[in-house]
Amino acid sequence: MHQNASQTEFLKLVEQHRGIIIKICAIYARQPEEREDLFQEVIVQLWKAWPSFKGLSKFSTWLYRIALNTSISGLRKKKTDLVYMDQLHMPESGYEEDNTRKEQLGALYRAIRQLPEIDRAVVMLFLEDHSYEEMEEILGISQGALRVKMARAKEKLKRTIQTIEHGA
Amino acid sequence: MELEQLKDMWKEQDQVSSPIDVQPFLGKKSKSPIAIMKRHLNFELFFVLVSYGLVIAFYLIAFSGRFAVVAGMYIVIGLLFCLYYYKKYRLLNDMECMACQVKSNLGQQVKTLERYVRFYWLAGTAILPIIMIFFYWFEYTFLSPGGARIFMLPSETVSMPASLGNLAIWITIATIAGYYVNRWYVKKLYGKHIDKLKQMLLQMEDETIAS
Repeated sequence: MHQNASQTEFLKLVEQHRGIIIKICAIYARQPEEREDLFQEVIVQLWKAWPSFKGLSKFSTWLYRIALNTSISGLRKKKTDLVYMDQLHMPESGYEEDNTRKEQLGALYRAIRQLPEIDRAVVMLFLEDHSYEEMEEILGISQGALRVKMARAKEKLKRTIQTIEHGA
Repeated sequence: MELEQLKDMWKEQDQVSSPIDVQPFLGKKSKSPIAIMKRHLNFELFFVLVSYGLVIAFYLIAFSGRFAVVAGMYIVIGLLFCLYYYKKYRLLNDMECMACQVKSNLGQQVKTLERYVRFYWLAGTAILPIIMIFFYWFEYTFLSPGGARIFMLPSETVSMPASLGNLAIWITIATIAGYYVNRWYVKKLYGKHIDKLKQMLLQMEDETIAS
């Protein structure tokens, strides 16, 4: 009974934050199959760690840490069963009526994926509107270093997006 | 297109993504490198326990118990293997802290994986002399003179110091070769992964120094 309640709570919280997981998978995995695999792995890791979540930090902070740790240190290309593929809509497929936005978002994702792994996490947290303090809490990088990193990443992204837009 | 302008578009994605049923994923096995290493280790341990169990039973039952001492030696070596797996399993358990900050988790992984690899390498090197001494003792104690031999055993023409000297030479050669072969093997298995983790850790550290 208690376990069922805990599972229901877990599923509810994951559903509320699924956007974060989907975006993390999209910046760390190129191919849909890899994203599907990574998404599943993040859920498995979250569920494994769920009993130790005491609520000392925000759920989103805890989720970011696990999802990023899974994506960054456990990158593996694996074949996956395709059972859930149809259900896993990745961000780039969301704008069917707005082609320009879709293209812009696609270019942004491609540009982010060209950054080093750690910079991708910094940029994503920036786009999610997290403060440097929150970024430090998730990544463990000092705020000063994050500012330097963000400034460099912004420049790189700007150049890459321009190249993609002009090249496309 | 400025990055600041992209923030809104980035956030809007949450509203367009469809709900996903994640419940079926909860019962799945992890495919992380560490989870895979643990499963391989469990399989190895199972294989060793079964094969050693069979060998031990054979030496206890066959030959009217004349070779029971060999079974005892296999038990000792089997226990050493169990200690080896226990140490490796503990290192694997210590290898990751998924709910920790990304930098701290990466640092812990690099440190523990390096210890794991060093242990794997040294244990792999140490097993050769142990096995050679075991077989030398086995031949010396149980095989009748004049038959086929791996080692040069003491006999009418070979003195004990000469026999032991010969054994020492072979052990030295095997240990040196084993040391380099094991080093090459563990590097092949884990070298790229460690380098990648170190590179990412460096990405987190170089900016700290710069600032």
